[in-house]
Amino acid sequence: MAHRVVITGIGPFAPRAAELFAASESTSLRVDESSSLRAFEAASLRVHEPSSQSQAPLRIRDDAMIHAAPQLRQMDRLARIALVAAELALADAGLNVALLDPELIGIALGSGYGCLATNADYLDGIRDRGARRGNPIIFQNTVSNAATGYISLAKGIRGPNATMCSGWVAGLEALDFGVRQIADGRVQTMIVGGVDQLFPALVDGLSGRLTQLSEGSCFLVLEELETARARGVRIYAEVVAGSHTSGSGAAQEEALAEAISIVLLESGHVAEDVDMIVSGRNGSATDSCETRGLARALGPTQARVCAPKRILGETMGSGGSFAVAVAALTLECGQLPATLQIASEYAAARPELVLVPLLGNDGSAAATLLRRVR
Amino acid sequence: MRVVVTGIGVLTANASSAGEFSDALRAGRSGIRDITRFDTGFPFKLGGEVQLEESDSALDRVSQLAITAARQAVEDSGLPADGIWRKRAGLCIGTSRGPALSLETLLGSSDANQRQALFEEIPFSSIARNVAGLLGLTGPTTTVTMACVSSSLAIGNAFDAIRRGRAEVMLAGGADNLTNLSFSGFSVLRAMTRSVCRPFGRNRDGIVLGEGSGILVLEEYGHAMARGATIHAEICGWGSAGDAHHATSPAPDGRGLAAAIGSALRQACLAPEEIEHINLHGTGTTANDAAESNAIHRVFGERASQIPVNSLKSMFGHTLGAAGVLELTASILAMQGGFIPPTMNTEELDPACDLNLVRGRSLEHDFDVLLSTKSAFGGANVAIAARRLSAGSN
Repeated sequence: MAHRVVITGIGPFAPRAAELFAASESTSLRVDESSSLRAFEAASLRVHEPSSQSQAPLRIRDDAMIHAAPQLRQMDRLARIALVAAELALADAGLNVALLDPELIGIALGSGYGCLATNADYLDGIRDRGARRGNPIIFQNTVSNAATGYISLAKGIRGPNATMCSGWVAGLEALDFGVRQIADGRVQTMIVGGVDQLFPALVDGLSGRLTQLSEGSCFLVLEELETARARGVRIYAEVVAGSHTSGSGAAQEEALAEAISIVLLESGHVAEDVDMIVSGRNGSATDSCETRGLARALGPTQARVCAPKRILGETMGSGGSFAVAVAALTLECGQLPATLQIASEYAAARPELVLVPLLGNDGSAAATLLRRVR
Repeated sequence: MRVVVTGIGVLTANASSAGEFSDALRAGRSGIRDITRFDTGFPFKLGGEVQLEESDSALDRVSQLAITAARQAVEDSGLPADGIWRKRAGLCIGTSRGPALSLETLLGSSDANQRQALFEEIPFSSIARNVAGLLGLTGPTTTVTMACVSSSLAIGNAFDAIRRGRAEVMLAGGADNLTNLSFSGFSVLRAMTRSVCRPFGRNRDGIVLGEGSGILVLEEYGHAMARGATIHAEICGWGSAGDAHHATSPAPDGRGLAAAIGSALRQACLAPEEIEHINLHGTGTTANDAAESNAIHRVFGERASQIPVNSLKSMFGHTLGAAGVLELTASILAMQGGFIPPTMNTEELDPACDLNLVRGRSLEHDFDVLLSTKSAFGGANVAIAARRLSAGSN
């Protein structure tokens, strides 16, 4: 029998993440400056507070790593951003990895663009100076799994290890991978998340398509339900199902509807059970596609809808992870983040089942269903 | 739910189809030559370059490699190119460098239109998008970017998707190009051989890079049987584990790889004594081969020096993200053909790597159960167990 998987830690790190998450009064989750600093100090790192302006990149000081272990000083910016979020999530879960069997905890990370910024740095270098003068430190970060490698190294994680670059649904891919590892009994704990960073070629390429382009990382701690209960920790939500489908053009709404139908079927729920939707709307042309896909799968629905990207902007491969974090937080504390501009009468009703639908930038679609744990 | 291999597509420096690949492996035929597609910028220029007839210049070369292998695999499986099966079929592609050629061109271009077109190609996920779009697959489409274990993990993911009932058919594998990025990078890391790649050899001095693509059609066993498909092998289990040791070097004691092998064997319900052949990663670097040997000894004890093992990179190069699928495919073809492909160029075995390395020429040997292991930057390790489907089952 498959093990039940719950979320016990949330680590959001992005411009305006504090604005989004700090509104939940009944939770102790912290994403403000001091929290971020604590996380960095735990990893012998330091970081400035995330910018309060969407589209402004996260600021990480270049000299911030002088006290870190020598290998961690070689991390690229993507890995540093991911490490902050992972530290926040582990701290939120009250989990000391050093006390666990290192082979019974794993890591999975999703990213839309992975190490492309670092690859661009390396290529710029050899174009200017020649192939024989490439920088080996930069080169070792030109694999997208460098971030999970560094986090594993920093925390001593030796279980399953995965990095997905499945476009903007990659964060949900990583979540699904993590859930599967626990459900199948391979490990007891997974830290899963998404990360993406802004870089010039990306900003150029996406300009004009989105109103708010941002960056960041969000990690979640997943645990087997009984393990979490035995630890006596706060359980945000149970991840009951996840799915991923593909299509392109008009077929993407069909793909989304199919993904939602799969998670409902697998979890034994029906459309009427869904009482909240954390939408992936980002102000682009695909928003109407999401609306049609939801209508197709759910029919007329009374579910409340919130759209965290109105605050966060489009964080690409980490967008799904942030959405799941919002859903989990809402299930646990029974209160929607006030900054989501949702009618107050909705905020009073505690959701039981939350759907996270997500459209990828490459024709794919994904859905995740989370349930309140009593 | 059982998962079987019903289609194979291969493109390497020494073969452009599964049949050619099997022949080349049996003969120990190398595809390593001087690279002609770009100036390496180094006095050493050896690599495993694929002769690809580029069909769609709008697509990055790595997508074209993947598409070619995917078409071969579907054709080999006997699934109709326009069949309804595609509604319940997905794709999982592994790549390390992805569309690095497009990124390199984009960075050097000042033409806004060209930059915009290239921007569509530079995400790693563009390979899966292009393959799935061309074949009309509507199931789960995933891109795994785990350096040299990418396509191994892609196969593991696809295996899981079928076992969970998410798809009846999954195309799984990987593709990677030879690029300036890789050639320069591995050279400045001093990981490249200055002569030839000699896996597990006493005088080994590094890797030789290659490129290629491999795609397997994985299918739910009942689905395959119902349509009378030819079954190449059964995938029995897979495992993944991290070293938590170093960004680029493996844990010397092989602990991460040993854990991945243990996980794969548990899922496959196989005891170590049942493994009859191991296809190793065997990059030809001092660090990898010694660590891998230690991992094999940790898991298999005294049998570690008896089980016939090989490394195939000296024949078609280290294909990075495609290495997992290509080398697993080689072992499956070898199992069908009753031989074990040789490790070329390794004349003298490193005494520190006390393994039964098949070298020089292929070994005629019938076997039914195999293991393929891969390791990567970031301390990632993946192992996959496969076996011949017994006569009674097929």
